[in-house]
Amino acid sequence: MMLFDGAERNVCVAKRQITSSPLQALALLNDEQQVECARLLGERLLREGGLDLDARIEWVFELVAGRKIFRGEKEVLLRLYQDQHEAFLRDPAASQDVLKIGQAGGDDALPASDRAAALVIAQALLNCDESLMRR
Amino acid sequence: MFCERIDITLNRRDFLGRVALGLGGIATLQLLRGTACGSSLPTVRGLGSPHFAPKAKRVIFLFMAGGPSQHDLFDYKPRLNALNGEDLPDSVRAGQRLTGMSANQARLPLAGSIFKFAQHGQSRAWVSELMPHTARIVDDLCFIRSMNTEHINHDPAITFFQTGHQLPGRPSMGAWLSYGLGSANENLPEFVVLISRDRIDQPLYSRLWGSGFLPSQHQGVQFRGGRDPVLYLQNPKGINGAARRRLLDGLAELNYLQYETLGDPEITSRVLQYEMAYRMQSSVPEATDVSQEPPSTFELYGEDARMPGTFAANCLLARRLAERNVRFIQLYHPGWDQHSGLPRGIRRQCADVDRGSCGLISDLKQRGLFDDTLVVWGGEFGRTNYSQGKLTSTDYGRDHHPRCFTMWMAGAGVKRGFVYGSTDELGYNVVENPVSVHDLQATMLHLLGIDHEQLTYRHQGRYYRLTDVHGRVISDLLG
Repeated sequence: MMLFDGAERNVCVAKRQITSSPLQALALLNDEQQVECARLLGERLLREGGLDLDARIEWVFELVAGRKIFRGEKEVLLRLYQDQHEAFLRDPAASQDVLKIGQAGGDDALPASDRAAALVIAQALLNCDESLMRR
Repeated sequence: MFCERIDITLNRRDFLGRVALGLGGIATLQLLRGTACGSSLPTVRGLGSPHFAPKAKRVIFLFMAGGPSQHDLFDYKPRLNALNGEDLPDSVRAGQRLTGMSANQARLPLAGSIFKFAQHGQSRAWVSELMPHTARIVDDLCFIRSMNTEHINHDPAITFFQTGHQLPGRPSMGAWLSYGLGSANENLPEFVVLISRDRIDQPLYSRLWGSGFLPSQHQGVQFRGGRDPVLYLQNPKGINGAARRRLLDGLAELNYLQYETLGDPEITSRVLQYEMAYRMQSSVPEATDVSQEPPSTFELYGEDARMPGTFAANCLLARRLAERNVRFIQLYHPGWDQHSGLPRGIRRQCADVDRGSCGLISDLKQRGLFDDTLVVWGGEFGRTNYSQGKLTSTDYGRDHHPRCFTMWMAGAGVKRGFVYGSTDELGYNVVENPVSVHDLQATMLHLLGIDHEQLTYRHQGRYYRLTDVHGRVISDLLG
């Protein structure tokens, strides 16, 4: 909470200070717990999101952002997924590494490259300004 | 060279076009950060360039949180020593308010300092035996003995010092500079905060280095006082640099789409902070690794500098950040709030900071940084000339005292070996050349090439500035 300039929970704060620092970005992208969270969200996307990639991205976006995805946003995430999926296919060791992060077990029935690419999509979504801040 | 800052009101084709073309990070960076000088895109900026040629390119502010006792360090008062134990005369106090901590004492016994004073250097400046290292460098320092503030309690007084106003919500001085002058090193934050460990007595809230109503990209970034000054610098295993870059590009695009809908500049701040985080992953380990420092470094700063989180280690880190053109480096050393047991407490504090401060000045000189780096040393107020609590021959305490206190400045554009202002013979009131906190802020900005009346930001219907509607540049301090 310190990195996020959060108010202590035992006091009333009339107005939260505006904050965004690179320290917050580093924690949200690299902290093991955050990566693990993205990994599991990625698996849910693959399992529960529907049959094709389009449907899955729509589903996970709505889950995180609480609204329907816009077309432009979907294009960004589709490109990111395809790009990362190819990269992880070329480098299976990297996908194995990233899927080992955190304590929770993974769903080994799903292809590793799918899971790793879905992890990146989940990270992108969880790090969106809209997911972090109420504007 | 001060580049123009590119506004967030970029058009989408430009923003997405460059990212989609695969220019990726560099394009995003240039676009948002404004290295694309001369671009026809609309700009928003503090100044773009300084108002006049700056003497100082950067500031290292050694903040002594709690309020060090000027009577025991720099403001020698033989008359106070002679009247030790007598009541503070009404003619001196003149009905001025006291804090609730000593206002109800039956009497206010004058307390001379038990520490020996001597004059040092060519400038013959008085320094007590508590600061033997500082005493060696007085000819490089510019003492201000006539500092005074409006505030008598820690939080309003520190907030006032950092932001020019006692109430929270305004930008800190480092944030003003980040806004006004922009970055001199794209790979590190413009405003870095370092706090000594283990000396917390009064809390230091992060809003002290906050950006207030300025966009939050200008807020200070606190480096930790541990082995890792910044946490989470490593990418997760399996994510290489290219993959991270790709993720950040996608993220920037998503955020941009969001910005387009909401128009909130804070979204742009967040994108900028993610980009800064990316660059810090490589710049911070390099900047903060002191393992290659030669033994001579530790002779300057003392062995304490090997222990992360000490004041000396933070001074060394400050020099390394100054070398890399971080614009505002704010150190805090808490622990100066000696309401009681002052002699013991202040000995410990001086042992913490004396050698490090002196080492920093010497090191900056050796590296040719002293001529364009401004160093400032001092706390939020002074301490009373009477004892809070019982006065004995070996022990006393001192309450907060806003009427007068001593600070020093050194380096870029400041007179060397100079003492400015004076207090009365009992050290209670300023009698000559008073310097207010706003005056000091105006003078610091002046040294950085900024007219303090012209660095403004419009917020809630009016223009704000660091010095509010006060402050004058003290030209007598300028070399």
